[in-house]
Amino acid sequence: MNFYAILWVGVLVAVMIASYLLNKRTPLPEGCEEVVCEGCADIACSHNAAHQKEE
Amino acid sequence: MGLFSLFIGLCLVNNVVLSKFYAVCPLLGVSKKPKNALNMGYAVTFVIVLASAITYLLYHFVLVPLDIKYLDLITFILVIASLVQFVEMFLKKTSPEIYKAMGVYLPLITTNCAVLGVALDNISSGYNFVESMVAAVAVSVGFTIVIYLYATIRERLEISNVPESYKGIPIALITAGIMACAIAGIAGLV
Repeated sequence: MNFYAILWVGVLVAVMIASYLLNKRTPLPEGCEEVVCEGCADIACSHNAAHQKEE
Repeated sequence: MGLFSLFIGLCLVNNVVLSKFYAVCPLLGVSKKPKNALNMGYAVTFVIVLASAITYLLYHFVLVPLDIKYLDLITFILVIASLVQFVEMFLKKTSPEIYKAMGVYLPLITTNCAVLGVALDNISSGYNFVESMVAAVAVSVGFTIVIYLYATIRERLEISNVPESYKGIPIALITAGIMACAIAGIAGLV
């Protein structure tokens, strides 16, 4: 039972990492480069506009 | 009638935002403009319905047969996070228009606890697949209605004569509290 649990969590983590990397490598469509979030002032969030300016 | 009651119950009476206080973060963060609120609602609807279907199937066809039901929470968190990444990637490649319309709201849904809450509630309530789908749509519609109404109220508050100490988040939270009281008044409907 523990073996299946560890295997299952490993599979999920692998899928998560793979999906993140694939998404990161997929180029943005034209005209979407300037999309930033201005919903709140939480600069800890990677989607905050402050991070876009730094880049 | 059962499915209709379920829909009305989850959409209005037991609205996830105003009765269970899920998704308060996007409610406060993405409700400054009604258009943004609607876009967030569409994106949440799409992800909640898809995530509910996938988590239901994984729970009943993987976790239960392997007797690892106790891993439901971590499974659902990772599945939802991966799902959002895949959906974003898919939209980037196939539908730039939809990707542009959803904008930054799609990745923000990863941290929306309503998505995880619905998936867990569906399992704990013992819903079948059809009921899970109805519940997912009902919760999403309820979320969209509330965030849109809230955004329109906040927009009017911007030009209202609010006392200085109540401006911004204080009056927004008071508004949310009054909306929660109002929605509690529908409790006798279903």
